Amino acid sequence: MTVKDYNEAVDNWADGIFRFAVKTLRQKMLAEDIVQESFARLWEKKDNVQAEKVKSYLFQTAYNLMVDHFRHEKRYSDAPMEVVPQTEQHTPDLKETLDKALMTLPEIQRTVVMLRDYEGYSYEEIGKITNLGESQVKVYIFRARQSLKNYLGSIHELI
Amino acid sequence: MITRENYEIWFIDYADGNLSTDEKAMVEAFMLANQDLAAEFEAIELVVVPVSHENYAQKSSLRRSENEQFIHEGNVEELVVLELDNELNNKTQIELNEYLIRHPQFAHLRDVYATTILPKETIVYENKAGLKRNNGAIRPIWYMLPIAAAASVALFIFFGQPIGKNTQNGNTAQQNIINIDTLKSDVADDLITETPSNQTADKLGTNTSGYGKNSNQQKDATPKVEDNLLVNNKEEKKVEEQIVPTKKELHQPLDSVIQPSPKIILENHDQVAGTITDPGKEDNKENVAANTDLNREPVTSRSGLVDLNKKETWLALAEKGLTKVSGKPAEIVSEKTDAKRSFKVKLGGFEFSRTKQR
Repeated sequence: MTVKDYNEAVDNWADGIFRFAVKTLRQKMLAEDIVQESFARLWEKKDNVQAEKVKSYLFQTAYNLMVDHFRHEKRYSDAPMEVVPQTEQHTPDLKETLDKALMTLPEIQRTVVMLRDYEGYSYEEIGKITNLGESQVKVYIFRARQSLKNYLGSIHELI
Repeated sequence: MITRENYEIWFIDYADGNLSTDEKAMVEAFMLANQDLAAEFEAIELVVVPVSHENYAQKSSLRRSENEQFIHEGNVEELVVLELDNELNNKTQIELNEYLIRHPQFAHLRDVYATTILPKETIVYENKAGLKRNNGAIRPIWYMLPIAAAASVALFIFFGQPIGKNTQNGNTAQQNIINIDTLKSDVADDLITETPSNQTADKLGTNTSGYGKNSNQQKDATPKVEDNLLVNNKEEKKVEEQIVPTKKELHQPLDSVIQPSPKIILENHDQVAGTITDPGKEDNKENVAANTDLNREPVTSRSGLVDLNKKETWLALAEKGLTKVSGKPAEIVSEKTDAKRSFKVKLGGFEFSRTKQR
């Protein structure tokens, strides 16, 4: 990978990495650190990374960094977070509701569904990024969508 | 043949049931002949994990029949999600379509799961420029000297903001004067001397930052700067720390830092003309005509002020700025005769000049 390829990767994928990190960590400054560290590592390994594989390398690096962060914070688990349906003053739009529903998912389910919907990765690619098998990815995404569906259903019942 | 040197292996095989009947009899006979090893044999038998006889209770749910359908009520939701994510192959996609036609009560699942797709969000990382890299080229320090020289002059132009207006007779000027009290920068501190207004020119010369004939300290304080430095933030900072003299050094007579060169003395308003001095010479007035512009007007009567209306002042400021930035002695010489005007800059071993014929 040349310097030009590296700088093109910055233009092409910095936003996506940042979005992924912000949505996962919910902390802007920490997400910026993830972006910078991901690209710093890419720069260190630029001679060993092919230009066409930069995107997956970056997302994999960012994911691993976030996992390390979660381990450090002792928050990483597959247990579902507590669902607290709230009565809103106004009717929330779908995006707002989905955003809240996303936060109720366990980290791994949230990660895989974001990689699928925000970045368009296939299950196989998601598996490589997250070090999961393709069948595991399939299961986690299915569980995530079921949880989102149930959350949306419960909100509609409240409304 | 079992012996006291290899009996352990025989004991383990015996415990694992790997021996024939004859071999088992041989091991038992050996144990009778070696009673002291019986305890060891019992210990090996203790670590053998017994076989578990637990059964899988839901075995029946795993069975398949001849008429088994691939898609059924138990997996239709999962397949709808896979279809949503374009993960179905063509064959399965066709089967799912046919199943949902035959079982319309499940058709709504497509719309329901479609609402769980996260909408795209526009989140932008603003500092992309900070992530980008150049090719890491090494730039020699001399490459930056002309830039440093220009930056020094621009810096002094910026700090030399006018306050009042200069008058013809040398009375207290109002414009283009740096006021000590208003300037806060280190550069200004370097340039401005705090001299009482009643001091003579000689004393002024002594007390200025090196602009005087009586400075006699010859300390070589010029820091050495290596050429061909790798230009990055850490190294730049390190280099800057090396080449930027401390305040204490700057307030010492300039001769202690750089080589002697013709300088301008900041006269008080009683003097008619300024004098260019060579600190190495006792009688500085003899050197006035050598390489200087004689038409220099006196500075303001306000002590410690520098008249920025004068070219000589700017030349002196530029010299000092170049010295400070580069860490090498700087000298700027301007000559004007009837035939030509010339301008020469010396910076360590580097020199450039420009001459214009009149």
